[in-house]
Amino acid sequence: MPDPTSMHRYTDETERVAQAALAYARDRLRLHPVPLDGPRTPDELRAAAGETITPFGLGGEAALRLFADVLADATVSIDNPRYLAFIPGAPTESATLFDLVVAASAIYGGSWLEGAGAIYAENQALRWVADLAGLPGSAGGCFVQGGTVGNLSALVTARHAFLAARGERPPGRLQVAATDEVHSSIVTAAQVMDVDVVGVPTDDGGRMRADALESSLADRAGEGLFAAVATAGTTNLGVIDDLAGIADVCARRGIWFHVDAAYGGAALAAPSVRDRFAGIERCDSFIVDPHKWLFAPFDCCALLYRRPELARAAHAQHAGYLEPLQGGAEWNPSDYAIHLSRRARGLPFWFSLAAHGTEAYREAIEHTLTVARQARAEIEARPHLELLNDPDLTVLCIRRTGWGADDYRDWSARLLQEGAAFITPTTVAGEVVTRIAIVNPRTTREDIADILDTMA
Amino acid sequence: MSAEREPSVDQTIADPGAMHAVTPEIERAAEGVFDYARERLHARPRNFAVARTPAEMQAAAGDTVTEDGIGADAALRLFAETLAPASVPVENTRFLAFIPTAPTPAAKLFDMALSATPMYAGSWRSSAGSVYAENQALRWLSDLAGLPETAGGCFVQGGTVGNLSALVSARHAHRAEHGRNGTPLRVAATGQAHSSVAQALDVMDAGLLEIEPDARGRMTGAALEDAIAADGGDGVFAVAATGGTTNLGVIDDLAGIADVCARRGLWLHVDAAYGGAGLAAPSVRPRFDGIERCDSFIVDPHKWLFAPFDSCALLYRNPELAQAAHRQHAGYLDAARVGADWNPSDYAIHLTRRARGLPFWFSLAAHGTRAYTEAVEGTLRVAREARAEIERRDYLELANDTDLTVLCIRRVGWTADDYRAWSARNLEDGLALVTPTELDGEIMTRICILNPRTSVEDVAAILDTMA
Repeated sequence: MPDPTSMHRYTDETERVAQAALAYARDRLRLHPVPLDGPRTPDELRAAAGETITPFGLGGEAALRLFADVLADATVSIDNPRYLAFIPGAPTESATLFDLVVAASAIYGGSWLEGAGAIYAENQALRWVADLAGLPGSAGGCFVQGGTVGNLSALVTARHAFLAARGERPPGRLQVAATDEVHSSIVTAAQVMDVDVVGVPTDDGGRMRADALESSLADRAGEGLFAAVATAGTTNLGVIDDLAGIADVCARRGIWFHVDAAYGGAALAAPSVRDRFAGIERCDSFIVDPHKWLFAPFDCCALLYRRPELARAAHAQHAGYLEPLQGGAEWNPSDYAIHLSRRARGLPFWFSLAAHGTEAYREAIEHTLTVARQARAEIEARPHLELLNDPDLTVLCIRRTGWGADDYRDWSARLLQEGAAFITPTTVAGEVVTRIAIVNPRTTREDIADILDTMA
Repeated sequence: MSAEREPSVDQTIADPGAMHAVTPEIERAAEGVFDYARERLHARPRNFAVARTPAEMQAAAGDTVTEDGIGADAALRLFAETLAPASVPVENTRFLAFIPTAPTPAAKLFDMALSATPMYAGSWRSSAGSVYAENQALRWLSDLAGLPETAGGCFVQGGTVGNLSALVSARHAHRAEHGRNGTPLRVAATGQAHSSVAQALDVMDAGLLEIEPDARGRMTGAALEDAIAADGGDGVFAVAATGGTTNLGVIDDLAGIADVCARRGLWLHVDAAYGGAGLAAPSVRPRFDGIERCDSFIVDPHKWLFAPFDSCALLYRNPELAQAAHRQHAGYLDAARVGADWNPSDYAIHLTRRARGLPFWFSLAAHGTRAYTEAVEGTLRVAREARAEIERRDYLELANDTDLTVLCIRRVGWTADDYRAWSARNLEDGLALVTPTELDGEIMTRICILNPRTSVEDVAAILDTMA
C-alpha cells in the first residue's frame, strides 16, 4: 500500500527542497535593485511552463526551479523603487523575513485559545496604530486580508449597531454617505451589503467638506442613513477629507464615522502632515493597510474600532463546535471582521515595528513625503508637464501636454518592457493622464526625474 | 506620541532606507530566521500550548513596540521563546478540535519562498506567472468536481469570504435577470450550514429559508422542494448546500438539490470548505454526485488539502457572472486594464492580494495528484478505524453517521461540565486538543481527522482517557 504520510514526512528530498527554497529566499532578499520583470501572455507561459499538475509530481526541486526561472520572472516586482503604479508595497527586510517565520509556523490566528502569543503581538502593533490616531485605550480590532474586507467589515458593524440601537428597521433603503473619490471598495461594500450610497460632491481638490456632506444629507438622506465614509489619503489624488468637519456632522446626526486610511494612514506617524488628519480621533472605525506605506508584505489591513464590542456583536460567528472559544474575556480576532480561519497576518508588521522601533517608521515615512515634494518640484520645473492634483501625501497626477490616452498607454507599456519603471495611466475628471504613488523609501528624486524625462 | 513633535522635513535623516537595506544585523536575523524555520519544519510538535491570560502574556513579553526598537535578534528570540510557545501548533497530530490543518513541508517551504517575493497577485498584468500557476491548481479542483473547461475563479482569504463572494455573485446574476421588485431576497440552507453562511446573509442583508435536515443532518432535494412549495419561495435566489458539514461531516443530497435548483432556476452553491478534499478520494467520491451541476463551490486548501493558512479556492461555473458582480472600478484600475486578462481580484471580495494559492500549487505540482489522493484516503481510513474504536468501547456512543472524518462522541453519563473538564485536562497534560460541541442541544465531544500522520493509536489514546 502506498504511504499516505509521504508528503508530510521530512525526507532527504524535503531537505534538498528546504535548502533550495532558503537559498532562493536569501538571494531574493539580497537582490537590490530587484529587476522589475513583466507579464507574459497566457500562451507564452503555457509554452514556457507547460502542465505543472501531474499524477506523479514534478518533484520539489524542479517545481522550485520552474517558479524561480519562469513564473517569478513573469511577475512585476512590487518592491522595485520604480514601481510607482496603483499603490505599491515596500516591505522591510525584517517584515519579509518574519513572514517566512509565519509561513513555517502553522499558527491559527483566529482565537486566543489557539494563538495567544501571536495575538498578543498583533495587538501591540494595533495599539500603536490606534494611539497614532488618538483613539482611547478601549479601542481595538484585528488585522484582515485587505482594505476591501476592512471597509466592508466596518460598515457592517455600523449598520448592525444602527439597527440594534433603533430596535426596528426604518422605512426606505439603508444608506451610506460618500464622495466619488472614495476607494472602489466602498462601492463594493455598499453593493455587497445591499445599501445605497448618498453621493457627496467634493470640492475642487477632491475633498469631502462638512458643508457638502451636510447639504447632501439634508437633500437626500432618509431615516436609513447610518454612516459616512471619509477618506484620509484618496487613492487617485492623495488628499485627506475634512475629517474634523465630517466628525461634527456625524456627531450631530448620530451616524457612524468611518475613515478609510488604507493608504494614507501611515502618515499619522509623520509630524509634517499629522495635522491634516485632525478629527480622525473622533472616528468610530478606521483602516490602514500595513502592506502599503507601513512596509509590511501582502496582505494585511489593520481595522480598528472605537467600541470593539459593537463589532463583536456584528461579526462573532456561532456554532456548537465554536462554543469553547466564546464565553471568556479573551480577545479573538475572528470576532471583529468578516473572516474566521486566519493567518496571523499582522505579525510581519509587528516584528519589523518591534525590531526597528517607531522612530524608524516616522523617518522612513517622512522621507517618502520629502521625495514626493521633490517630485512635485521636478514636475513643475518641466514645461511639458502639469500637476493635476494638490496632494496632501505622495500621489501625483501628471498631464503631458499634447498626449492622448494612447500616448500614455504606449509610454507605460514601453517603460515596463524596458524594465525602466511601472507606471500606469489613470483618469482624472474624465481625462486620461498618468499618476505615480511613492511609498518606497528607496525611491529617489533621481528615479522620478529619470522617469519624467522619458515624457519629454 | 510622535504627532506632538515639530515638523522635521528639513532635518537630516540618518538613513531613512535603513529598514529596507540588507545590513549585517539583517544578515544575522536572516540566518536566525532560516534556522528557526528549519527547526520548525523538522519538528513533530507533541506539545500543546496552554493559552495564557493576557496578564500572563504581558508579564512574560512586556511592551514590544518602542521608539528605538528592540532589534531583530531580540524580537526573534522573543517570538521563539515566549510568543510561539503560547500558540498552539495546529499541525500537531492530536489537534482534533474544530477543523485542524496539516500543511506539507513543501507547501510551507514554498510559502516562505513566496514571502520573499513581493508581488501584487490581483491582476494578470502584475503577476502573470503566479496567476498562471494558481489557475492550474484551480483547474485540478474544478476537474475533480466535474465543472466544464470554462469554469474558473480565484483563491480568497477563507471560507467566510468565499461563501459570501459566491452568494453575492448569485444575487447579482439574479437581479440582472429578474430586476428588483422589492421582494426581500432569500437563500435556502439548513441549520447545519457553516456559520459563515449565516454571516454572509447578515452582511448581504438577505433572508434565510431554513430547510429541515434529515435524520443524518443532510439537506435533501425533497425537503428543499417541500419547503419552497410550502412557503411559496418568494425571493429565493440561491441554495447553499454543504459538501461536508463542519459539525457532523455529512454531505447534502447534492444531486437531489441540483434537480430542484435546475427546475426552479436557483443558483446552487456548495460549501465544500472542509469536505471538498474528499472529491479526490475514490472511496467517497460518489457521495458528491451532483456537485458537477453547481454554479459555484468552495474548498479550503488550508484544511484537508494540506496548505498553510489562509487559502480558500472559489470556483464558478460561469466566471463572467462573478466578474460582473465583483470587478472594482476606478480611474487608476480601468485605465490600466488590458484586454481579456484573467484578474483574480475580479472574482471575489478583495483587491490587493497575496498569491495565496501558490503554496498549495507548489506542493501539488511537486508531489502530484496521486499523492493527494493517497493522503486523503489515508485519513478516511483512519477515521473509519476510529469509528470502530468508538463502537467497541461500551462507555462511548457515536452520535453521527459521518460521510467523511468528523466523529461526534457521547460519553455515557457525562454532563457538559465533565466534557469541559476533560478537554481542559487533556490540553494541560499536553495529550490532545479536543473540545466539546453541541448537537441538538446536547453537549458532547467531537473529533475531526485530516492530518495524514494522525494514527488510530492517537485516537485510541484519547478515547481511553474517557473511560
